[in-house]
Amino acid sequence: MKTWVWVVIVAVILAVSLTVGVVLLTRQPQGNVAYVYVDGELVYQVDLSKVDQPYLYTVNTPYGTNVLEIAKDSIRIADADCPHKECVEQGRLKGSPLVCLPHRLVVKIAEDDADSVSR
Amino acid sequence: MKRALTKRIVIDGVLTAMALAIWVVEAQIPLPLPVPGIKLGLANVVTLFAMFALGPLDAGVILLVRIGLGSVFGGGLTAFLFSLAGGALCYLLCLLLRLVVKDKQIWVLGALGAIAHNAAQIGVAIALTRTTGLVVYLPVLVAAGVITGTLTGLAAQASYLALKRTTLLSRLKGGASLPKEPDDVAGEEDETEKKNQK
Repeated sequence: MKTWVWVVIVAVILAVSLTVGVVLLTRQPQGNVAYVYVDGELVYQVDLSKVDQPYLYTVNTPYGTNVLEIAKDSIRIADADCPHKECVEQGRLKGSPLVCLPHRLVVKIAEDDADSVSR
Repeated sequence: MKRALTKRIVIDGVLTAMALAIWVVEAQIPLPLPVPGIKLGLANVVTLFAMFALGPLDAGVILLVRIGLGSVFGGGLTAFLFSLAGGALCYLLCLLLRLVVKDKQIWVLGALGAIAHNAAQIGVAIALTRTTGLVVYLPVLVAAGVITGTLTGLAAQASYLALKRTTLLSRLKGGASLPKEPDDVAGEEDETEKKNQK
């Protein structure tokens, strides 16, 4: 194949994935209930619209701990005892779930009844 | 024959050491991005270079040993699973692609290989956390893979093409034409050192 064909293929993949990716990651979460999962098991849930005072919630997983900072309509991972703290870098939860892979922890926002629907 | 095998082991070992050093240093520099799992993947420069300069078998050995030792040098089991899945899928795709690309298109293997690598890692992340929702990260990781993969691919391509103009590559690969004169052996050591410094 000619080089320009490869350039077009790679450029198209880049343009499409970048557009879709930015849209997915910056969209506002649907719903107001935050669900915290470890190993795919629901360990904690909170209705973010009903939080008056910001508070910290510590999740102890079999692999380590993560500290969640929960405020009105906002949830983020404030601290973790993993080496790279990539989960902390992710900031406030927006369109995509917060993930801490070493601790198998996922935080996501969904409608109130999303959990029962997904079952 | 025995000497050719020894030479091959030594060259693969040197390249593995380079890849491992790059990998370890890169792991110490976290990128402050809001998306987990984006990295430059600089160690893949060595794998790609080896695939063209030495052959797929050598590249595979270098990749596997680097991943194994990398998890010992501070990656841990989680990192090992991610590296292995990403590395294996990337390697398999590159095996196919190398049959259709020309020398000046090695960067394509970097770009598409990085996509395969990142897609496999998302797969592992979904399996580990049992959260299919993580697939929303796929497009961004694909985009990041295209960018970083093109850069590392270009680096591998440049190294390969530069060395191809010398006699070094044929001497690296061929066990048949072993240098007899001490001058040649000295020259080879110099080249290896230069590569290490890069």
